[in-house]
Amino acid sequence: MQVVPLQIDDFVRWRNVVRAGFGDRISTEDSIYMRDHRAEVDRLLACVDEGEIVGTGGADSFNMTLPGSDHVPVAGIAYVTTSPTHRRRGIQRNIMDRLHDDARDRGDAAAILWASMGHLYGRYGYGNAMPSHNWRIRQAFSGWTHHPNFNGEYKNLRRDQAIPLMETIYDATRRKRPGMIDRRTQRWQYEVHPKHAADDFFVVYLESGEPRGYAHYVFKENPVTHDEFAMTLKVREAVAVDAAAHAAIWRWLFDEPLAHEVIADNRPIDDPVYWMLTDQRRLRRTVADSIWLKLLNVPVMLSKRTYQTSGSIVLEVSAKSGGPTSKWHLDIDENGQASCEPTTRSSDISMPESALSAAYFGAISWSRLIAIGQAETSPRGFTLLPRVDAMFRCSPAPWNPFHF
Amino acid sequence: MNDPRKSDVDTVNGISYRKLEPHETLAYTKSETRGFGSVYRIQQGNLERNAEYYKSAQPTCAVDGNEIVGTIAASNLEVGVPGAVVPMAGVTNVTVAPTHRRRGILTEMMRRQLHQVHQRGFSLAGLWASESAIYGRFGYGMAVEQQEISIEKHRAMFNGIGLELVQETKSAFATADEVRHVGPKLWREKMQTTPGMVSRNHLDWERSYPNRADPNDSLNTFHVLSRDGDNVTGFVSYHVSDSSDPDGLDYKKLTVRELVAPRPDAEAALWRFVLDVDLVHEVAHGGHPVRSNLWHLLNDPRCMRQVPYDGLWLRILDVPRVLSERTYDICGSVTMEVTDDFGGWVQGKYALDVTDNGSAECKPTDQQPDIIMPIETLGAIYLGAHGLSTLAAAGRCSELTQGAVHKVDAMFATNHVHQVTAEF
Repeated sequence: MQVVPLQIDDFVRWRNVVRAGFGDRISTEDSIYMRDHRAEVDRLLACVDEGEIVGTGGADSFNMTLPGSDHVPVAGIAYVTTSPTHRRRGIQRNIMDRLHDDARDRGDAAAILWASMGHLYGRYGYGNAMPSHNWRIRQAFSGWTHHPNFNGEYKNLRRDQAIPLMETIYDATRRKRPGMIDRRTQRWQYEVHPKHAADDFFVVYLESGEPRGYAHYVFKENPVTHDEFAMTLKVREAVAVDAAAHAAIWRWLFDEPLAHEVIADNRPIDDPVYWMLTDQRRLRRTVADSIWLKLLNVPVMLSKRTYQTSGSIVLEVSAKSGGPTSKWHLDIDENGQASCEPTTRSSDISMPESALSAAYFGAISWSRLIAIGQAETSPRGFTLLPRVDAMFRCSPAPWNPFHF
Repeated sequence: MNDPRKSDVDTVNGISYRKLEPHETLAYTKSETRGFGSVYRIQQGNLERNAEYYKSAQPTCAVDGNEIVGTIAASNLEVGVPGAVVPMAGVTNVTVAPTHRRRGILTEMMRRQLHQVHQRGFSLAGLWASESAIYGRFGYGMAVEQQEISIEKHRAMFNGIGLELVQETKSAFATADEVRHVGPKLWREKMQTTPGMVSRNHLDWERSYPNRADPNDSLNTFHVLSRDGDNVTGFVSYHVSDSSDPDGLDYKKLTVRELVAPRPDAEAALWRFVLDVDLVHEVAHGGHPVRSNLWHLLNDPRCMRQVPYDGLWLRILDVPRVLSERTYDICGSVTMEVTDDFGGWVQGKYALDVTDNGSAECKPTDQQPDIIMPIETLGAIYLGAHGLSTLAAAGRCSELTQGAVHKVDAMFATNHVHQVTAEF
């Protein structure tokens, strides 16, 4: 068996293997649409056994926003499957290592992915970095007591009209929100797929003619109400540039006359909607892991984000248990700007890669990682912990609405 | 608006408000139980226990003729805040009879009670809300969430490091008596580092872990202690319910009543214990912290379903006192104007100064405020579980000095794991 770069002529065959790995089939037409609007064929890999594709993997190129609004190139790992006929032969490990090596060569500072299963990626140094909430709320309980003021206008648009406005809003939002990634013009044509155009709804909120927020949603029959006009409104994506536009968009969704209930997956854990509602408990939230993060370039990732307070600490990172380590001196000045240099000083906190990834956006504090044995600290490091916890905290919470 | 600090008017709109008389224990208990949708049944011992409880909780009743139509009380409790444990009035028993709706009885009771608990020396009142829409208008803010969790036991392996963590801990079954004996010390120790955790008085310990001879003691409840050598490091109390899956086959669910261990390794070991109980398919817990350490120990975090909900609501009655009682991780200064639409209790401008060692001073001030917020917003951010920037984005705060909201976010945040642990 050999892991090789995918040849473009094999794309449709390869795509079929990927989809089978996720439990469905795909038409040739859809595969070609995907190739032309999403795939970066030179980032795709196939594992081949006697001419048959038995393993797949690949990456999409993104820019991810860090705390403080700087961006870094990241690899969006996807398409990772192994044929059921070829399990337990190390194909996944082989493909993941190769994808990470390629990404490093290209200058990606991190790799991110959406996991099909929760236990798969910790072993490759990924951490559960950006938990999110899935929402369900009955329209009857969606009244609010508090909200920022908004007085713009709404436009209900068709897909083709909506896409350019949504792109503008998304891009302005993602440049400020830690964890968000860019979505290029061509990619919009794939993510808002033409095959859904007939069923999907698009609302754009504008102030003085400027697009400020949007929601992309669809109606589904509600199995409980048995009433064809009391449906479930499923939000595919809702993004707004500021608090006022965010409130405006959610008021629109909650007030949709046909929506008996509203559901939305992957909302930020600090979404202000929870604090607007009169009866907060009726917003039923369940916690989900969303983006898993792996730092590929520790000094770039640590020095390009900003921090909540100043401080100085030596972090020791191991790629695998008992394996070689690297030591980094992270120094934060009064303005929260960082430098991160290799060092030979003794370490204050040592951890496996996956723990550094989980702590990077503040999803879990260093104190807690140490308390539960996922990281270790020297006596000096222990006294620094409150400070280091404060340094890494992230406000607003990281969020990535783009399920690539 | 009436000054809440004057509560000399005892009859309002034909309803009188007064302290509960000792002979009214049964009538009050019946009225209060009905308010929460149940019929009160006298069981051995519990009326005596209520009578003793009412001595300290000082119930007020709303009375129409001879009938008790409104109930409210406040226990003398303490609550963990970052860096300290402070007194808190534990507001409870809040009901109005369905026959007496829409006459302002709740508002009148809340107004009188804030006055009463302030006179009793409290600068903080806390409660569990039967519904989350009720208490914001009285100045309560949602300070600590917790969550219902449910774990598919057969998927609940710990990651490798998690397994090493729990190796040193031994566990042993115990009686309710033993838990009642060792529990209070562990509880108090845990409160020191757990913002939102509420103290438990001896009556509640007796109710939660009744004497063996007590017929109310459920035979299906098990108690387990964790030990490190001779030291008891924690306890868990759970019951196992028999049920069946949709195909009629056995499906046992283990429900953790409470699991308390100040040390994280003992806590992890007790979770490992309940996740390893044979014959069980599902493990559930109703008062689990939102920042769950358990979630980060699981090899597959998706085997754990987490549904957060509002836990402890806090009403601040003395801003300088409560803000200087907690500690902060970051130093800084901020001036805030606090509004209070329910009686104007704490209305005013305050300057908060946090020094390098994390201790704070807070005083009334005449300076221009950096931030204006209602008291329920301050209650919601007080323990550091929620960021002011989130509440600001919901229209619950105005920023007058750019960057002030972000500064308050950083100052008030804490790395502690919030948990309320017990209802009161």
